[in-house]
Amino acid sequence: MTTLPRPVVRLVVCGNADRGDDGAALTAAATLLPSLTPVLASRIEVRRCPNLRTEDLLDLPDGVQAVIIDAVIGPPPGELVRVPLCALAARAAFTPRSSHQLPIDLAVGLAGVIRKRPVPGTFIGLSGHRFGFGTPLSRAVRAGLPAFRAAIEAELEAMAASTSVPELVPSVASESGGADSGAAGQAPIAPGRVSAP
Amino acid sequence: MHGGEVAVGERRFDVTGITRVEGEGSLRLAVRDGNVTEAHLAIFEAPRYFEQLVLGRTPDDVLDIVARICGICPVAYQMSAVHAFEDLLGVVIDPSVRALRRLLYCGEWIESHALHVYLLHAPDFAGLASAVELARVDRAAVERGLAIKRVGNRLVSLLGGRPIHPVSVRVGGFSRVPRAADLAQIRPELDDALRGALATMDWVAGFSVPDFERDPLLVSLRHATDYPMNEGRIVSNDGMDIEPGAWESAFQEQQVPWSHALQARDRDGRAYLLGPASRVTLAGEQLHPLALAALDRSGLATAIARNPYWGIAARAVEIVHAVAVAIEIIDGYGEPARPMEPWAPGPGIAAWATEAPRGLLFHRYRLDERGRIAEASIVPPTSQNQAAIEADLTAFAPMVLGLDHAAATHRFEQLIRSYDPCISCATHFLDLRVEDQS
Repeated sequence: MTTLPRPVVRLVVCGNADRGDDGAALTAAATLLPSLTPVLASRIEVRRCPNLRTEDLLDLPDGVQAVIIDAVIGPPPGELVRVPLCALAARAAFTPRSSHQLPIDLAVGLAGVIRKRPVPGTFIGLSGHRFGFGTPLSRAVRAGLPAFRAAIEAELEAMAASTSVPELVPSVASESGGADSGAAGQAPIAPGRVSAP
Repeated sequence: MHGGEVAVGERRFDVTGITRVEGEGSLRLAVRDGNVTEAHLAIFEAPRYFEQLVLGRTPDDVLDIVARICGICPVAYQMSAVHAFEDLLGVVIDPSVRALRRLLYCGEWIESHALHVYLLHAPDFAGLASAVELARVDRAAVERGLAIKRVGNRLVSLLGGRPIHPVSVRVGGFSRVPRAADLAQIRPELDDALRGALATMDWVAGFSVPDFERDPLLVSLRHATDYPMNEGRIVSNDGMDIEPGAWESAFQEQQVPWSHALQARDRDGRAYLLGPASRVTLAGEQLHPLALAALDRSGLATAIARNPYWGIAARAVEIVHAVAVAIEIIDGYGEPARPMEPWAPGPGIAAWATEAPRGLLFHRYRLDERGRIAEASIVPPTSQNQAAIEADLTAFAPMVLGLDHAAATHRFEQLIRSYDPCISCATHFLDLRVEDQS
């Protein structure tokens, strides 16, 4: 039985590929993850969340940080936003596009109260322009994707590096499978480990 | 000038950011001599053109497309559409498939109602700004709500293939049905959820609500043996009783200049109210005995019909009902011989209504000779409830116009949230403005 290092970062990928720029985070993840080094990829758990729910953050294990990526509205299209999760409540200049059930700051804040400790991590967003069904990514978002990917990769590397000696876990136990990442119309996400919400 | 400021001849509230509703819209109240002369619930979210997106598609395509209308109630859109097509095409489904569709709908009701009761509406009754604040003062309550909601998510995931925008519903049945062992895995969680649901009913029954009563026209489905979800006749508290596909014979949509969403009224021009309060009032005798007993214990059956703030109690009753029914369906489940009945495409009018968490959802399609969609009409509950919400705001406003800005705003927001509006369905965020025109 092979062993894998325990993931230390949960990459939460929000948005819908079939709603124009709402697919920005999916596109960034789908093109970034295959290019990661095997070591870094093995430290990441990828969770696909079309609409971020509090429940998606409640089971975040101790020592694991979250990187939530999503399209946003507010700043000029194509502009990047990066906010520590602990500062989301104070955000004013942008609105994550894909949160539906609760605003993202409330979803993250509520998870923190229920967990009795704040959700550690970062929100990274790319400002979108058009969100109609069936529309492709806008030119501004396509132009912003390299910077979006670079920011996500930098965050993942920094978080993985900030964690001490990795614990080893059996690979069978760590593969939860069953994610909805392969749903029709959505970009595939690999490698990393994909968890079902 | 902002709310609370008073000038000679004019009083005006500008309130932005009414939260905890699904979608974005605005409310404007015009006041003359202390009376509200206009209440406009404006839905300015851009039209979404789903009725155009489905043209030329097959019935099965439609089921996947209409599920994308809403992230909270996608099952409702699939259910209204699939029953419309099956009614037209003469498809008779296996009783186990019928039960599974009901179970799928139970999952959506549980998820949607738990979200609204605990995370969107309950903070109002505790005088708190959000579910985060509610969790700080009553963490156990919010955990209970999230646990109930999680069970709903699991049911939708298991039967629908994923928790949001399910993909398994097909004309004639499902693309795949679960094994009894799959369903049995959820059973212990449902037992916990049932305890949680009963506690929810007791919890909300203790809330203090504003003293505001009216006598609305209530409309819902009613079925001879089941609490209405997928089947039943459209009935009202003034004697209407029509087939589920005959919505257009009794109601009509109209464009209003202040909203991107069509409004619906009955053929006499009257506003009417859909949703849990209507269902509990018109079909309460069909509630699961555990839900009916919880409702009786609360003593709120009459108040639910007359006071919109008690919508939260109606939702709590329906959580009990949906969880209890889900348990019974799982306990009695026998895997059907095949997941889907064969069917042949054909022309005609397919029309049906089912009960979404927020109320009656009507679909009508015209299919051409190839069995493709030539025309589509989708009437979601929130657009039907708009006129009733406006009427209630008009009646309620004089009770709070004397309050300071913050207090009046809180009351308006609380009232709007009582209807659990899903503005995204109707065509997100509410901007409230009250102007004195005297």
